[in-house]
Parts: sequence; C-alpha cells; structure tokens
Amino acid sequence: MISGDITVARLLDEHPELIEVLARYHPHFARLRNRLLRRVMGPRVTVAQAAGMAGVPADELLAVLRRAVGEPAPAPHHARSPEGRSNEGSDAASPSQGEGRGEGAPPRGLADTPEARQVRLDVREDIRRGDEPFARIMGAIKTLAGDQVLALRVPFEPIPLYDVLGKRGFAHWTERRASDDWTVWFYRDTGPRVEPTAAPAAPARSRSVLDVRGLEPPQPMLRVLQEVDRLGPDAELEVHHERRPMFLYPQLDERGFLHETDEPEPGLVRIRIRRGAA
Amino acid sequence: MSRPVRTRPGRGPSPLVPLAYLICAAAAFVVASLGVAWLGPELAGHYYHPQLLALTHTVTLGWVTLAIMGASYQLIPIVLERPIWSERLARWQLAILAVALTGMVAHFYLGSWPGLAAAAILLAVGVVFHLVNVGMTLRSFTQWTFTARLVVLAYGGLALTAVFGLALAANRIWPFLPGEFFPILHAHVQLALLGWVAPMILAVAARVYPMFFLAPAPRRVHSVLQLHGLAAGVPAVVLGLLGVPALLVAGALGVAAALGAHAAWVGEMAWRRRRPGLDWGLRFVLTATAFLAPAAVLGVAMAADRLAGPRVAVAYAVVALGWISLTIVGMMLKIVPFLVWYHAYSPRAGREPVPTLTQIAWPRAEGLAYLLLTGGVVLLAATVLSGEAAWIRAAGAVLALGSLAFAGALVRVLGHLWPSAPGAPTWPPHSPRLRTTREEPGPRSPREEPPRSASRVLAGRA
Repeated sequence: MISGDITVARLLDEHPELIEVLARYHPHFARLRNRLLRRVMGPRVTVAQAAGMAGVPADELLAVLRRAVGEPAPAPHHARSPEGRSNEGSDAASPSQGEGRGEGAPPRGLADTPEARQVRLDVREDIRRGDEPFARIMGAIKTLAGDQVLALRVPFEPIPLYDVLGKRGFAHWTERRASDDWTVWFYRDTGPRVEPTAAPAAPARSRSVLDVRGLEPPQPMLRVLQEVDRLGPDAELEVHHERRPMFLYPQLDERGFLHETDEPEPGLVRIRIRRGAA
Repeated sequence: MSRPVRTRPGRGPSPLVPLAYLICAAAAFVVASLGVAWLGPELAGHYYHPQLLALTHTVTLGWVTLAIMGASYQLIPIVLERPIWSERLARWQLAILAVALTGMVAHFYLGSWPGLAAAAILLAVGVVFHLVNVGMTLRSFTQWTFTARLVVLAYGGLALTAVFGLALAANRIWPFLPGEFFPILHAHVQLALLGWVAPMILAVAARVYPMFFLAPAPRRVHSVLQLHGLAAGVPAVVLGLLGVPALLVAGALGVAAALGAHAAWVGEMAWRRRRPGLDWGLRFVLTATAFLAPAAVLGVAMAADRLAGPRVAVAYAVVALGWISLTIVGMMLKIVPFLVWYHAYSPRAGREPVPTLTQIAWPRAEGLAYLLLTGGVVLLAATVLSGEAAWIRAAGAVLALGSLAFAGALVRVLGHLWPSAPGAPTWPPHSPRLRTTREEPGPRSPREEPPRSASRVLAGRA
C-alpha cells in the first residue's frame, strides 16, 4: 500500500510507471523524468514531502497514486492547514531545527544578521536546467563563516534540505515570494554574531556575498549583473568565482562600477564590486 | 596569494573578432566536406595528388587553424586571464589568412606551384601576425600553468609547421631540400597534427571542459603525461621521420601516452561531472575523444611498420581529423552562442529579461549534425580503407549533409546579432515588431501573414 512516508525512490522502484502519472499530475513532478534528479532526490524525499514541495495536498496525491496502481484511495480525514497543505505533509516535513514562514517577523537569530553577512545562492536556474544543486548548496554551507547566513533561492520549498542542514546545526526561515520562487535563510541559531559595535570603524559599507562557483557561463555574469543593478550607493557586492571573469569586467566598467579582484585561496577568485562616484 | 587586479575600461575582449574567424572556419568546413564527396575517386588513390592537397589544406588551414586561432582570441583572455594585445592586428591577420588560404587551395587544385609559393608566403605573414599577437599578450606572463605551457608548445609547433610548409613550397620551384621528399612531407603533416593542433586542443580542454562539464580539472598524473608526452614525443616523431628512425616508435608511444592520458581524463571528468544532462556540444566533444583510440593505434602501428600504404595513411588522417573536427564542432556549438549572447544581450543583462544560451541555440539541427558528422567520419575512415570510390563519395555526402546541419545551427544563432534583420529571431519573444504584425486588426490576406521565420520563432518560444 502506498503511504505518505515511503520515499519517492522506493515508490518509483516498485511502480516505475508512476513517473508519468506524477509528471502529468503536476508540472513540478515533471522533473522526476530526469534520471539524475530522481537518483539524488528520490531517496531523500517522502511522498508526503513531495506533495508539500509541489504545494498539493498529500492525501490528494496519495489518492492519485493509489488509483493509478489499483489500490483503494485513502479516506479524506486530514485536516487542512490554511495553505491547503495536509497535516500529514506538514508533519513529515517538520525540520529538526527552528522553522518559520515569511508571514511574520524573522526569528531573532536571523533578524540580527546584517545584510553584509548573508551569502546569497540562487539555484532556480540549475533546477530548471535539470542540474543537481545539492553540491553547490553544500559547498556554500561549507564556506559559511560562523556569523554568516545562507540565503537560498529555490523554485520550490526544499523540505528535505531542512533535515539535512538541521542535522548540521542550521535553523531555517522560509519566505514564499511566488509559487515557484522561495527564499530560505539557513542560519546557526546559537553561533557567534557580529555585533554592530564589532564592525570595523572604517567606512561603513554594507556588503553582500554572491557565490557563482559551479555555474556554467554565462550564468555567473548574468547573476552578477542582476545583483549589481540593485546595488545601493554604499553597498558592496562580493562575488566568489572560480576564475577571473574577463568578459564581466568590461560590462562593469561600462555601467560605472568599480571592482577589485584577488585570490585569497586556491580555487577562489573574489571580486568586490561597488558603484563608482556619480 | 592575494593578487589585486584592476582592468582598464575598454580592454574587454571583442566577441566579433573570434566570431569572424569562426564563421570563416565553418565556411571552410562546409566547402571541405563537399570536397570530400566531390573527390571520392581521388581519395581512393594515393594521397599525394594536387586536388587532395587542396582538400587537405582546406581542412587543416581553413577549418582547423582558423577555428583554433578564432577560439584562441576568445579563450586566451579566459585561459590566460589577460586581454589580447591587439585586436586590430587580429583583424588584419584574418584578412591576410583568408586571401592566402584561398590562393593556396586554388593553386594546389590547379597544380600551379609559383602561385602556391606566393600564397604560402602570404600565409606565413598571417601566421607571424598571430604569433606576434600571442607573444605580446604573453609578455611578462608569469603563471606557467599546464595550459600555458601547452599553448606555448602549440605555437612552437605552428611556427615549425609553417617553416616546413614554406620550405616544401619553395622546393617545388627551386629544389634545395636534401634527402627524400616524402619524409619531409610526413614531418610537415605530423607537426601540424601533433605539434600544433593536438597541444592546443589539450590546453584549451584543460581549462574549458571543466567549466562546461562542471567537473574537476585534470589530475597531476594526467597533466604530466599530456605535457611531457607531447613535448618529448612530437620532436622524436619528426626526427624519426627525417632520418633517426630509432626515435620514431618511441616518439609515437610518447604521443599515444599523452593522448591516452587526455582521453582518460575526459572519461573521468564525464563520469564525475556535476552536470547531469549533456547538450549536443558536449556530446560532440565526448564522442570525438573516442576517435583518439583508433588514431593512436594506427599511428603507432605505422611508426612500427606494422601497417603501411597510402590507404592506411589516409584512414589515420581521417580518424585524427575526426577527433579534431568533432571537438572543434562541439566547442563551436558552445563558444559561438556565448559570443553572440555576449554581443547581443550582455549589455541588457540584469536590466531586462534576456534569453539563455539554450534559447538562442537550435538543438534539433545540432542533433542532426551530430548523427551525420560522427557517422560520416566513421564511414569515411572505413571506405578509404576499402578504396571504393563510390562508397567514399557516399561517406562524403553524409559528411556534407552534417556540415550543412552544423552551419544551419550556427546561422540560426548568428541571427541574434542582427535582431532588426528581416526574419531574424527576436528577444523578447513578443517584441513590438512581431506583436504589431500579429495584432493587426481586421481581416488579412495570406500576404499579410507574419513571415514564416517569425511564426516559427513565436511558435518555438510559446
């Protein structure tokens, strides 16, 4: 009997024909046609979690799956959350660390973090292309300093990631901007923080970090140009790259940005970008 | 470790210079593949034939060398992290090379040696321009990485290939070369293939493949074998051909080891890549690498005198050029869309929606080119071994169709350079021009329907 707590991998091992049933049921599940994504995500995501990620009621999804394999549909006994999510899905998705949604104020541990200490990582395009973003996310987590926060932008709520990073001591706070645009902040709830008084005395410049390592050209250039366009007069964007972006520099020059590049460690090229004097 | 760098405004690489080279190279590729079909009977005979020499130089100079030079004007800024010394010199170089190449191929075809010598001198001037430009770019360069060393090795090979070619052309008018003719001709060919093209492909691959496959760079063992195998193997092969036979087999084994290390790295990289899906450009590159095995086997067997004869030599050339050509086709399917995107859309990037590389490419034509070109190379190698002119011609026809599909894919991408041209693809898909055409009120006669290409664009982007 198909239940909400079996993994997608087990489900598809036992009923491979359900790939097409899922893909037809919701566009979100069309990604399961990608063999690699199936291999990576399948063992980590339960059916209930998958329903939550796609924003569909878990009991409805279970009914569709059971009908497709000739099993009796579940009784519709689950209470619905205000978001239309079944309790079964929510329970299965509960992270081990703190959780919040973007409807209220962010938790204190996160609210105290200045913009300059937030490392932004956008994997929406990777997932749309069928690329596996897990390595990039874990790479960004590894390089996160104690007082830094990872702001992850994804096309769906990454419920399995809450557990994975929760085990590493990261709490999260989620904001849903659109059905295919989510931002999740992963932060160390008890980690050391940079207090305002501890900031360097010299020019108070807010700094944000953008990690474009592991992206195929011209995605790094595109992401940087999208970010610099939003850069305030006193803000600085720190880009982490794998190589010197020779094709990006002229674009920055033409748009009047100042930039400086260095290599603090092998494999990391750091470009600091700020607006030039008007 | 910290090396702050600032770039000066206006010193960015121009995409139009490499694009001009790559367009000329693609045109030469189409001409050469049509030439294979045309020259089927000649390919069934001995390779030292004026028309086959014309065909060979269309491939090696027009297609391979122009493509490498064009790609180097795009990749040197990436690989060596510095702009090209003079783009103006690069433009002059292309004009000279185009004239020289046309002259050389025409005079080879006609068997007119004085005209050939004049064209060869002009070609040497173009090569010198390129070497000066690269040499000045490398001035005060201090980071002698694996890639940089292979690039220098390749340019040494190019210079020597040009010297041997000039000497052979001059020798047709004023015979002065000592010894037999064919060993010098073979040395010229091996210098071009193994001394110029092979190290350049290995050099660029080491930096560019990891970027596209999202995979690790070569491990030290692979790098050492590739660099030292070619650095020691190519001079040994050339000296072996010119009069020290004892070096020939050792040199061939050294080159085979270098190419084997390259193939092993590409295989490892494909296995460990973080990118799940492969586009047609990367499929070309992977398939091309498979051609290294038969090329190395044939090369070592010929060096060891286990195989001999003009048919084997031509089959070896076909397989080796198959590796080179399919690799270049694959890389061009990555580079050309990037250059076009950079020229047409990067000034708008971040300010408004711009297309992705996938959206400006034509995967259907690329897939067709993949099937026809890879199949065509295999067929051609097999048919030149059989020596059947009709089958060679058929294989040439397959290659020609593949090259046309490849050219079609490129033309589609290049259309984005001139978005205002009639029938050109546009971005965003619902541009005012197209919308105006579609939203015209009132009844329309068939003549007022949107142009076919515009309809196709709209349908494709829907």
